[in-house]
Amino acid sequence: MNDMRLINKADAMTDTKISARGVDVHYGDTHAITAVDVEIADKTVTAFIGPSGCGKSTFLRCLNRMNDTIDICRVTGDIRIDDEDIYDKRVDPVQLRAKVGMVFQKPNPFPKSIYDNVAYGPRIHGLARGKSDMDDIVERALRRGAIWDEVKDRLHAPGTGLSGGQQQRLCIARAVATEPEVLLMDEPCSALDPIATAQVEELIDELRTQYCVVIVTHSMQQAARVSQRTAFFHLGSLVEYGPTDKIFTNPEDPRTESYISGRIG
Amino acid sequence: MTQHIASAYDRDLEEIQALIMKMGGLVEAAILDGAQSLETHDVALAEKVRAGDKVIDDLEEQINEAAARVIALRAPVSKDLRVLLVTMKLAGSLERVGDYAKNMAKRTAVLAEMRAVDGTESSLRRMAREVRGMLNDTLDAYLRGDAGLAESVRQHDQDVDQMYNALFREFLTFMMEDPRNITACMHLHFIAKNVERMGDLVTNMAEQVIYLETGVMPEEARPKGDNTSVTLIDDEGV
Amino acid sequence: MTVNTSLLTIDARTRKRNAAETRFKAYGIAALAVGLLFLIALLTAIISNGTGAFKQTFITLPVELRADILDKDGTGDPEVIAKVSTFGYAPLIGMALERAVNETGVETPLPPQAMLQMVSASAAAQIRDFVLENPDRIGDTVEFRLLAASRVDGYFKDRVSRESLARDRNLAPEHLDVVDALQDAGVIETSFNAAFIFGADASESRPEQAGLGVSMLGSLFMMLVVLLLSLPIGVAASIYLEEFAPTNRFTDFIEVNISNLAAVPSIVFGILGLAVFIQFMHLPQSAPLVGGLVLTLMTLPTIIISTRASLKSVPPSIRDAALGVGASKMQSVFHHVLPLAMPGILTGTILGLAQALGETAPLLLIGMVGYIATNTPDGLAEGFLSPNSAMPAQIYEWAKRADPAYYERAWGGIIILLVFLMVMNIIAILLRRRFERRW
Repeated sequence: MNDMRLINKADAMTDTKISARGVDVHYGDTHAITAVDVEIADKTVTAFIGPSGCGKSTFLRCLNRMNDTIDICRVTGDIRIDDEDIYDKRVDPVQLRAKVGMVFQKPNPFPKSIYDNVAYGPRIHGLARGKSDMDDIVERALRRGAIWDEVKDRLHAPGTGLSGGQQQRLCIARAVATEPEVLLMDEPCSALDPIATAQVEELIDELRTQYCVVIVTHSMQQAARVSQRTAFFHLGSLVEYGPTDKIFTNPEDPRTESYISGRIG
Repeated sequence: MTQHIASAYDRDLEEIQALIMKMGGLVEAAILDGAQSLETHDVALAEKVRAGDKVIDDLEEQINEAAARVIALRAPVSKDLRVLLVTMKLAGSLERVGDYAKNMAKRTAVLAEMRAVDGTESSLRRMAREVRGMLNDTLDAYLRGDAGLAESVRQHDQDVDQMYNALFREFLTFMMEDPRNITACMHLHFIAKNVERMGDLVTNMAEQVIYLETGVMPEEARPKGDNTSVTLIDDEGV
Repeated sequence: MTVNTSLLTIDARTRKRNAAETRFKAYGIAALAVGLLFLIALLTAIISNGTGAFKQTFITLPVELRADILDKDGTGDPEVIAKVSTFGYAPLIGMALERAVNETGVETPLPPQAMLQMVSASAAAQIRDFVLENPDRIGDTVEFRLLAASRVDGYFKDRVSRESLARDRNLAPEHLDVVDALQDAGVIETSFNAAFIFGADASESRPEQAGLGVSMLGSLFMMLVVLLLSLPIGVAASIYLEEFAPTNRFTDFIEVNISNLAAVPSIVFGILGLAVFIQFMHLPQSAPLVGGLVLTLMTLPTIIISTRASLKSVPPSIRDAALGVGASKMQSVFHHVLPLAMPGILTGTILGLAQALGETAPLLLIGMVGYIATNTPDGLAEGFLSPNSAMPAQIYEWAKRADPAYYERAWGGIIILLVFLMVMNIIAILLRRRFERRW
């Protein structure tokens, strides 16, 4: 009888994949992120929303240690994936990034063929045993990226020759080729037109059955459409975190209410 | 129309429509059962109808919540928005129809202890069946997007109004004939009024369906056949 | 109160601005025209002065290889034959000349021995080399194509006239009549001289024999050294500075100094080369190896700067994408950034090489100027280590020499050098087009 309520409750029962406790990030003297605590569930899409400069992208990049490439960035606190501290000295960021894939704001396929774009990750991580194995991996990844049908006849055409939406789906296929467990997406649709955006969102909805997806978006409507849980960031701290439909129909914090109804920037 | 690119959106809309259809079915059954219990003086059936109204009320709440959620999360426009607004209104109307059916059933318990008033009960049953048919057509029109069917429902309300007029006169006559009939006739009259109101509500629902399909509320005033407000019968009988 | 302005009439301010812009455009075109004019003048001067060097006057003579002079005892033994020096061959040429002159029937007051002055001093050596290689031809009459003397060549190229020969030791005005007659008979003619491009340099007195070939080889070996050393070192240093170096004062210090090095006058590198490579490390003087090392030092800053610019121009999104997929920093640089930066790196390298090709000042101090490059090196080791000259140095050397025939050859050398530079620039453009990848 109460089907809808049952479905929503089911979301709340999935396991925690990423847990962050007391995370602070400093860029030189600027305190970018303050004391963030959040538990991100597996097999769900979690959206980070908030105004520009609120720290959502910074926090996302902590999850796969991309902030290591920036010299003046200092990350403190505890971030665990599958209960393993990713900032432990024994962790190699390169290995971490095979497990935690990333898709960027502007589609950035390598200037190589479509096949090589997808095969690069598995190749450097030694995931394929031979050519036919690699062919399988590439096909699987392109299918999961919902772009196989469009490119299967031209795998050796350059990846940069595709349209914007196709390029982004290629980048998603590239990210899933290394069999990650977590997918981080930094505003993946902001450079795409509405139809391509809708296609990528539909793809994200399919992906959540297999991966833990975390998406940063500056479009609240996108977060509303695509995610099951939403975290609202403001001025570097996590203001509210909860099920998406609750955040958008009846949020707890007045700051969240102001942001989603467009009363603050 | 083609599907949304986001299949979850289509699924959400279908779920809400399924709920409306379910609610509509329950209300139709309540009308029929209520009329049946009145005719056969079946108190147990009447009690079942009364108890069933709770489910109908819960469904209305559920539909409203679900529609609010879809509006918040999907920011629907154009036809999608009309679907949700109309669905919410339909739920409200159905809930009131259900209440009237419950009312019908409540009075059965009282009427069961009185003697029957000739002829009126079958008329009432016919009226109830008419209204149920209209409701069925309206729900069909909603499901199939058939604005023509909904328009015919609008026209149909006239018949129900005529039946009510006739019943009103009959009751007046009966009450003037034999004062012992007054109690029963009063109750029966309330029931008849309720059924006529049900017909009006179902007509409203049909108009909402037309709005859903065309985007415009039907303008011409529908034919109103209820002239009981000006009916007068003198002592000699008309 | 608003003035009613119509769009269809231009107001005064716009008119003045348009006029100023038109004037500015005119200045620009005038400047371009002046530049073009100078360019045309330069090219005309070079071509008109230099093309003469590619032609040379030859005398075609049948020479009897008389056995009684060359192989008196008839032994046929190469060692014995080799004992006859060029001095001994001269009479053979004289006899052949005499016959040819008599055949033309021209009247001349000059004695027969004087005819020899019309032929280059190298002719005897040329015939001797032939005889030593083919001793079995002694006794035959073989037709030789001998170089005419420098003054004869000058006569054909309008450098020399009867008046200018009046006080010349090498030739007399009467010779010219004989030359005219021989030309009519088809014995003397001016034709394309491949030996200028491919041959070795000659002594001061024999401009007709001088060629650029050996110094070209010297330049080639030098360029090889420069390419093999500066490209890897420059690219590696650039990659380190751009991708791996931490941002601190030391790195800034290095970067500032590299930019400064690019502006240092090239002769300073020559002194450095002299002090370090020749005096301290005792490498052979005038060797292309040393020249190459000096030019490497000179080209390195250029290559580093152009490589850094190419690396910077690769968008960071590519690096991010590689890192995101799980590549290490090294992998992302070598698999992605470097291939994309390759067109720029190649172009910078080739331009650096072209610049180094034309450098003369540093070579002054390590001794590659003034050396007479007469010997073609055999073998790679000799090529790098045996003393040689380089093209620009050779040109400078020729321009210094007194004989006007050398002056013409200097211009010819410039033409060849320019052709090289043009070819290298074209290769740079083609390579850039070929490897350019769009992202």
